[in-house]
Amino acid sequence: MDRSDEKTEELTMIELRHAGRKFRQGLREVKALSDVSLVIRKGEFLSIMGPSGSGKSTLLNLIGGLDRPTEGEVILDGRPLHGITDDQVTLLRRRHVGYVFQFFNLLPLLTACENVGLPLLLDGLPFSKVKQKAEALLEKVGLAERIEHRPDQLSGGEMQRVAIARALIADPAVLLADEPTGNLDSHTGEEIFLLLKSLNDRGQTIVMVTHDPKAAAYGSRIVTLKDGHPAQDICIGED
Amino acid sequence: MSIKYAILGILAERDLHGYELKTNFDDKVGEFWSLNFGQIYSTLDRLEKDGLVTHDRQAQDKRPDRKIFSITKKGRIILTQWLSTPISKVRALRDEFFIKLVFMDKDNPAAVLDLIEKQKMLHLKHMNRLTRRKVALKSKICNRDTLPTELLLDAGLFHAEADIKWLTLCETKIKTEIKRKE
Amino acid sequence: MNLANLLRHISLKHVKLQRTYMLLAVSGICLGVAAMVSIDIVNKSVLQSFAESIDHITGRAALEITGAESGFPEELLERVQNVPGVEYAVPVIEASANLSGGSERAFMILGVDVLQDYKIRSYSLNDETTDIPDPLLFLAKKDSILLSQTMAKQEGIVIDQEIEVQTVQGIKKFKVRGLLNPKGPAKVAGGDIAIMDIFAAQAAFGNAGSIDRIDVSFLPGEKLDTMEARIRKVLPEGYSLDTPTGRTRQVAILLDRFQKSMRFIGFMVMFVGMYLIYNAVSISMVQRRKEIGILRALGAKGGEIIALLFAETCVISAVASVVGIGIGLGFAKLSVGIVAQSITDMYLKTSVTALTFSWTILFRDAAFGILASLIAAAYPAVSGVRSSPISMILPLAPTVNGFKLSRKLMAVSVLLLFLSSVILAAYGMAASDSAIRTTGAIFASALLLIIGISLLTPAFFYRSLLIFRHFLAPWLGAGGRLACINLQKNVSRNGVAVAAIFFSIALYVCSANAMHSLRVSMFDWIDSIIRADILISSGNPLVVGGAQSIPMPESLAKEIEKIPGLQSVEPFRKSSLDYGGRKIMLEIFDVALRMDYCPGMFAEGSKEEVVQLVPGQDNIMVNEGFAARYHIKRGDTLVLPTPDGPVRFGVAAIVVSYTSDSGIIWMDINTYRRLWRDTLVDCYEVRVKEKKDIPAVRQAILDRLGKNRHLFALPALEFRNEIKKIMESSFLITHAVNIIVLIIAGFGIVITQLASVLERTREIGVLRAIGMKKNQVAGVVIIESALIGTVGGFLGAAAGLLLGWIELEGFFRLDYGASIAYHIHYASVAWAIVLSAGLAALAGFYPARRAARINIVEALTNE
Repeated sequence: MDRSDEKTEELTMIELRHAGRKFRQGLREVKALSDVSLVIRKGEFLSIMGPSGSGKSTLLNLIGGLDRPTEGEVILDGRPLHGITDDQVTLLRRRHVGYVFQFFNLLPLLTACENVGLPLLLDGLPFSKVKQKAEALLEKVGLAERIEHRPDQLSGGEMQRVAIARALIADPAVLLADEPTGNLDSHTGEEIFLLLKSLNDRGQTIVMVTHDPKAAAYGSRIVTLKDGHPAQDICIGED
Repeated sequence: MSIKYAILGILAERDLHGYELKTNFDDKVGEFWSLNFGQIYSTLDRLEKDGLVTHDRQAQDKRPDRKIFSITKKGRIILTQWLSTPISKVRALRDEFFIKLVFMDKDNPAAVLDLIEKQKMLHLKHMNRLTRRKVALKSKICNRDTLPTELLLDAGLFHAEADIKWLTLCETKIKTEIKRKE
Repeated sequence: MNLANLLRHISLKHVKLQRTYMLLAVSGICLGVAAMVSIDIVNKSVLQSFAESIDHITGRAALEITGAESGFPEELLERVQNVPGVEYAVPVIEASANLSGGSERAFMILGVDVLQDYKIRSYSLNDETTDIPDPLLFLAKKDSILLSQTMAKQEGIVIDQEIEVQTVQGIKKFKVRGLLNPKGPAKVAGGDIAIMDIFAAQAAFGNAGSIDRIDVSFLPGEKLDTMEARIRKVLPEGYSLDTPTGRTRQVAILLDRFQKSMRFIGFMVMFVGMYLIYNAVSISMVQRRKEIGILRALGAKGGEIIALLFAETCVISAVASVVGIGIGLGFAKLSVGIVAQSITDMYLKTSVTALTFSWTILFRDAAFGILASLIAAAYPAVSGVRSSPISMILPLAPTVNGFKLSRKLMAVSVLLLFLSSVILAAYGMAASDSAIRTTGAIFASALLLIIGISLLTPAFFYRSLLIFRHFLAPWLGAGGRLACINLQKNVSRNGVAVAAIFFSIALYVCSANAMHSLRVSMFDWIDSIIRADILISSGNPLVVGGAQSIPMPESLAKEIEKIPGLQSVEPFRKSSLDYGGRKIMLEIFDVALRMDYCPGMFAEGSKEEVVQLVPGQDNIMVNEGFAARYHIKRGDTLVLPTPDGPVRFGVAAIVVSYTSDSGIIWMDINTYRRLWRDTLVDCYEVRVKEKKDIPAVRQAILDRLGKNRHLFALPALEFRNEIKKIMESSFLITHAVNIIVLIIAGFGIVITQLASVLERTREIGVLRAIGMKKNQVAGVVIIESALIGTVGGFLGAAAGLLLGWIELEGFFRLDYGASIAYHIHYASVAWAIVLSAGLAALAGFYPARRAARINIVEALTNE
C-alpha cells in the first residue's frame, strides 16, 4: 500500500482527526469517544465493532453529522462538518449521507415509495419526479411488488430493504448503518448483508456499526473500539 | 469414521472412480475437511470388505484400467440408517486454547488478555474469509447444488462467533477479577 | 389497590414530569372558574349595592309608597298617616344633582321632613363636639345642606362652606351645615349623597307640593299583610306599595337580562375549558396506555383505574378552581367599575364601591368547575380503560384508521342537529305569544347545535384533510404531506382541538354578527330619531341612564327661542312608570311637531294616524318589545298609573325604539302635562334654519343661558356619534370574553400539538437524521396547527352565522322587537377564519420549537 499522499487524499471519503465526544451525565463527564483518528477510503466497507458502550454508535453519529464532536474534526467527502450551521449539516445529511437504522424507522403512514422518496421530497422535489427514482430503487432492492405497501404490511426484512432504498435515494457519498440487522433473524439479516455487500461491490462506501462478529465479517475492514478508542484495525485485502 | 458415510453419500448419487470421488468430496465439504487420496482409498477398501461398496474395472487406452466404484444395496441401507439418526455425542470441549488458559501465568493477566485479543482477531479474520467465500458462492451462477456448502460455511461462522463471544466473556471476567483484587 | 397510594405514587409523578402540560390543562378550568366567579361576584355586588342603598335609604320603614316617577301630591301623605297601625309616614324626595364647577360630581339629594325623618332614618354628624340629638335641625334654613363626609373629603369641602349645585332653577348656592358620618343614608350611592329639607328640595328639583315617595313604619305588633291591605285601600290605583326587599327585587328584574347574559358568558368560558380538560385527559390516556395496562395486569380493576383518573381530575380541577377563584376575584375587582358604568349607562345609576364576598358563590362555582372537569374526563377515562390489559401494553398499531368514528356518535350528532332544527323551526313558525318563543327554547336549540357539530368535528376534519392533501399539499411540499398524515393519524384527538376552535370561532362570529345587526338597527334608528341639530340638557345627554340630568323648567323654551337663527325648539321629557311589575320608560315629546320632520320608524300604524290620534289625547305609542311582552296590538287599550289614578290609553301605533329593553311608551307632551301636571323638561331639541349656523347658535345658547345654569348644548351629530361610541363600548365585554375564549381554544391546540410532538419524538428524530431541517420540522407542526385552526374556523364561521341569527332572535328581538334584522358582517366572518388559522399557527409555535429542538441522537436511541 505505497500510494502517494496525493492519491490517498483523492481516495479519502471520511476523515476523523483527533475526534472526541464527551457527554455530561449529571455531574460526571463521560468520554464516549476520545482522540479518534481514522481515514475511511472511497469504496470501503468498514465494520466498526465493539461491545455496547464502546462508543461505536457515537462514532457513526459523528460521521453522519447527527452529532458533533466536542473536540477534533470530521471531514466527509472533503466537506468539514465543523464550523457550519445545523441547517448546513442537515443538508449534508440529506444529500450526502444515507442512514440505515436498527429499527428501520420508516414513517408508518407513508407507502414504501413515499418513504424512499422522503429525503428528496424534503429537498423540495415534486413527488412525480421522486416517484420514478424511488420505484427504481425499490426494484433494485427486490421490492418491485411492494411499492404501494405501508410499513405495517411489510416484513422486517422488507422494511429494512425499504430503509436501504431510502438511504440510497440521494446517491449518498456514504451509507451508514447502525446494527442494521439487530432486529432481524439470521437468515433475513444475511440477505440484508448480501444486499449491502453487492452495493459495496458497485462502489458504495459503507460504514456499519455492529456488535455482531458475523455482521462485521462482511466488511472489507474491521475496526474494533474499546472504551471510546480504536483498539484494532484489520484490513483485509482481497487475499 | 464419518468419511465412510461421506463416501457412501457421494456414491449414492452416481458411480465414480477414485479421482472423481476426491474432487466431488472437496467440492461439497472441502472447506472443513481435507482428505488425501490415501485416506480415500483405504476407506474404500474397508467399505468393500464390509460389502457396502463394489467396483467395476473400466478399460482405458494407453493406461491401466481404473476402478469405477458403486454403492451396494447393503451400503444404501446403512447410509439411510445413518442419515436418519441424530448425533448423540455433543462436540467435545477439548479446546487447545483452553489448555493454554489453564497454564498461563496467573500473576500476569495482561499477557492473558493480550492472548485473548490476538485469538479473537484470528477468529474474526477467519470469519471474514468464510463470509467472503459465502458471498462468492452466492453470487456465482452455478448449476450445482451449493446449499450444503453454504450451510457448512454458516456452521463455521456460527462456531467462530461462539468462540469470539466466549473469548469476550473470558476477557470481561478476567478484568472483573483483576478489579476485585485491587 | 388503595386509591390514595395510587394517587401518590403514580399520579403525582405525571404531574411532576409533565408540568407544562398540566399547566395548560389546568388553565382551561382555571379561567372558566375565574370567569364565573368574577361575573357572579360582580353581579352579586351590584345587586347587593342596590339592596344596601335601598336599606340605608329606607331605614326603619317597612313599606314604601311610590307613584309615577314625576311625583305625586302631598295630600296623600295625610291619608296614609291616618291608616290605623301606621307609626310614622314620612315624605321623601329623591333627586340627582351635580356640583357646579370642579369635578362636576354627580350626587343624590334626599329631601326629607326635617322634623320627622329621624324617626325612620338615623343620621349622625361628624362633629363630635356638638351634642345635638337631631342633626336634621341644621337644615331649618332653605339653603342648608348636609353632605356625606366621604364626598366632602374627596371634594375638599368643609363645614359652612358654600357650594354651587345645579338645580331646575339653575345654579344655586347651598351652605354645608354639617358632615354626615358614613352611616345610614350617608352610605347610599357610595356616599355621593346630600340631605336637604323636603321643601327646599321641592323648590330646587321638582314641582312644589309633589313628593316622590312615602316611607311607612308600623306600630309594634302590626303584620305586614294586614297593613299592606289597609294602606292599599286608601291609595288610588297605579301607586305601588312595596317592601324594601321588593324594591331590590325590582332592580333585580330590571338587571335580569344584563346579569343573565353576563352569566351566559361565564358558562361559555367554562365550556371551552371543558374541551381542554377532555383533550388533556384523552391525551394522558394515550400516553399512559402502557402504564394503565400494566396496572391492570398487576391486578387493578377497571373501576379502580377509572376512580384513579377521576380522583386525579378532581384534585387537579380543585387546584385549578382555587387558583381560578383567586384570579376571578382579581378580575371582579378590575371589572366591577366597568360593569357599574355599563349598568349606569343602560339602566340605573349605581356605584359599586366594594365587592360582596360570598362563600356560596365561590363554592358553587368551584364545584361547577370540578363537575365540568369530571364530565369532560368521563368519556376518555371510561373508554380508555375498557380495552384488555394486554392490548394496552402492546404498542398501538399506527394506522390511518387509528380513529374510529362510531356510527353511534354520528347518529347522536345527527339527532341533536335534527332536534335543534326542529326547535328552531317551531320557534320560527310559532305565533309571537306562543310558549315556545322564549329565550330558553332558543338557547336549547343553540346548545344542541353546538354539541351536534362538536361531535361531528372528527369526521369533518378527516374529510377536510383528504381534500387538503389532495389539492393543496402538493404546493406545500413534503411538509404539507407530512402535516396531513400526522393529523390523520389521530383524528379523534385533533378533532377535539378543532371542536374547541370551532366553538370559540362560532362564539366570535355569532356575537360579531348579532352585535353588527344590533348596531345597524340601532344606528338606523338613532339616525331616524335624532333629527334636531342641537340638544340642550343640564346633564351630559350622553348618559343613557339619564339619572344625572337635572330637568329644566318649561320656561326655558321661551328664552331659547329668542336666539336668532332657530327654526324650532322642542321639549323632551323622560320619565318612567310602573307597568306589570316592570319599570317602563316613558318618553314624552311634542308629537305633532316631531312627526313633522322626523320620519320615525313604525312597526304598526302610520305617521298620519299618529298625528291625528296622539297629540293632546289619551293615546300613546309603545315600542315593539313592550307590545310583544304584553301582547298589545295597535288599537288595544291599556291602563297606566298617573298621579291622579289610573287612566286608560289607546295604542295608536307600535314603534321602533331601542332606548330600553324593558319597554318604552311614547306620549304627547300635552297629554303628559295635563295628566301628570309635570312641566319639567329633560332636554330641548333645537333645529336651526341654516345648518352652517349650528356652531354659532350653539355658542349663543351657551352664552345666553349658561350664565346661571350649567348646560350642555351638543350638536346632534356629535351626540349621535357619541351614542354610537357608547354602544360600541358596551360590546367591549363581549369582545373581551371572545378573546379569552379564543385564547383558551389556542391552549387546546398547544396541548394537542405538544402531545403529538411528544408521541412522535422518534419519528422527528428519523426525519432530522435523513435530512429534515429544524425549520422544516417546525413548519410541519405549524402547518398542522394552522390546519386545525382553519378547519375549526370554517366550521365555526358557518355555525356562528346561524348562532348569530339565533342569538338575535332569542335574546334581542324578544326584548326590542322584530325590527332588528339580521345583518351579516362579512368582514368579521373573513376575519374569524384568518384569526383562527393565525391564532392556531401561533399556538403551534411552542410545540414547533420543542419539535425542532429534539435531540436527534436521543430521539433515535429511545426505546
